[in-house]
Amino acid sequence: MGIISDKGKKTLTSFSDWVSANSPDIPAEVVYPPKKDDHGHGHDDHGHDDHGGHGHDDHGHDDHCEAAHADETHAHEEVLHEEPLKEASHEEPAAEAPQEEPAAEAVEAPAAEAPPPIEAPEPAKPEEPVSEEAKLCAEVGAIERSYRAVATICGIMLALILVVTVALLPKFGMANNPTVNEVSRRYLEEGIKDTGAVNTVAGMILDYRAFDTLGESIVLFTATITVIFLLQQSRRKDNEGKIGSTEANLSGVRSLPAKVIIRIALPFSLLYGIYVVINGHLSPGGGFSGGTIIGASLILSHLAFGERFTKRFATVDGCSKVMVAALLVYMGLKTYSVYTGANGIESIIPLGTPGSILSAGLIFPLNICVGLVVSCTMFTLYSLFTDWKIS
Amino acid sequence: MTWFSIMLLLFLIACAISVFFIKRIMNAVIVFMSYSAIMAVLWLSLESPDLAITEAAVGCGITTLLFIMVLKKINALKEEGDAE
Repeated sequence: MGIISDKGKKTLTSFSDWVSANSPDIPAEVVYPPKKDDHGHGHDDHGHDDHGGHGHDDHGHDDHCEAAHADETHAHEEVLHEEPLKEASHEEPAAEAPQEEPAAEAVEAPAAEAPPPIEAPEPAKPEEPVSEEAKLCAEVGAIERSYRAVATICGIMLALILVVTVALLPKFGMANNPTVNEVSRRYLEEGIKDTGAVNTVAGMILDYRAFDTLGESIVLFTATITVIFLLQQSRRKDNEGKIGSTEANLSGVRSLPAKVIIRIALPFSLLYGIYVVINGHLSPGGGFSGGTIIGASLILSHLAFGERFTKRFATVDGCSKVMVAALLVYMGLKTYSVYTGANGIESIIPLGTPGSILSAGLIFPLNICVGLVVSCTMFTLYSLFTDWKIS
Repeated sequence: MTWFSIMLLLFLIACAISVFFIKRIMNAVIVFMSYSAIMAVLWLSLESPDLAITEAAVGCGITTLLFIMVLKKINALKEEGDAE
């Protein structure tokens, strides 16, 4: 689309230049008013061709009509003054005007006000560029149509490629699949011995592949920081304009049943989130899921008890500090474990007895770090989007 | 594959397609949430409870919350209510 509009614009601009250059006695602006009027009245005729300047044109026409009722000459001047600003959006209608003019005049009765400006520039307009413009419009239409056809073909091709790729994938659960190699066997058989975690998934994501998890946490952290940066500017504007958190945000939800249910559910969900994080190496769950549950609980507390209550223990600034600290602790612990011999080769950190809460070496603190990062991310995103003044 | 999984999968597909066709954004968000809930049950039936917990917490909880909040923020819910 970009190509098309650029092309059209360039040629049209040259056309207007050409008109102003070849008829020096008529100012360039005078060429436009009739087209605008014509466009305003007869936009049903060629509305399909120009999407950009539509509403604009109508507005301009309304202005013209109102002014015309008051004082016609003044209206004409106004139009002339308006034109240079709107030139860009009027270029396409301008191109079509010569063809559509008679039809618009015949059909529309209110066009009676329009004729004076219409007839002024008409004799000055040479016939050649009209046909050129018509050709160009036809060309643009053809390109648009072919664009649609090409897009459809591309979409169908993409869908076909994806379907074929899925069909060529190895069958699910076969013994000789590439996914069933010695790595997964090793994880399943030696996992508890290597990592000390009963939950093999936790052992995988926080010991064998702890670097991946670090990357994921950093992705969340980066997203939060980006949102903070983006919304800080609007926060500054708010402080100037005094548009900020409303009373509803300060006092939480207004509906009483929802408030009561949230108050009952809140401690349980918070406790369950902490349990999922701390028990990550023993039972299903871990930093990500538990952190999400804790974050949801914080959001619930904000909804039920309002901003003043939540502000006491959770603010945007505090959350970002906690996130940075958790990420640094994660990196430090993992660096330490790598330097002292990763993957259970020569670990100094005691693995403990598998199954007890203080086991699995570094997985326990790493889970807590990830949980902190995720819960702070969720809460920060929420509070930044609801009211930008929570910090 | 039991009849239960087949039913869940059919429901999943129905949800996925209907999200695309639903006009009201709020309803689409709720159907999307139910999609996540079904997906969580499916993960559980595939014996991956970790994913099930995460899917339930992220898909059902946080995503829906953020969606509704943003819709409220941009006044999309109000306009819909006026239109209907």
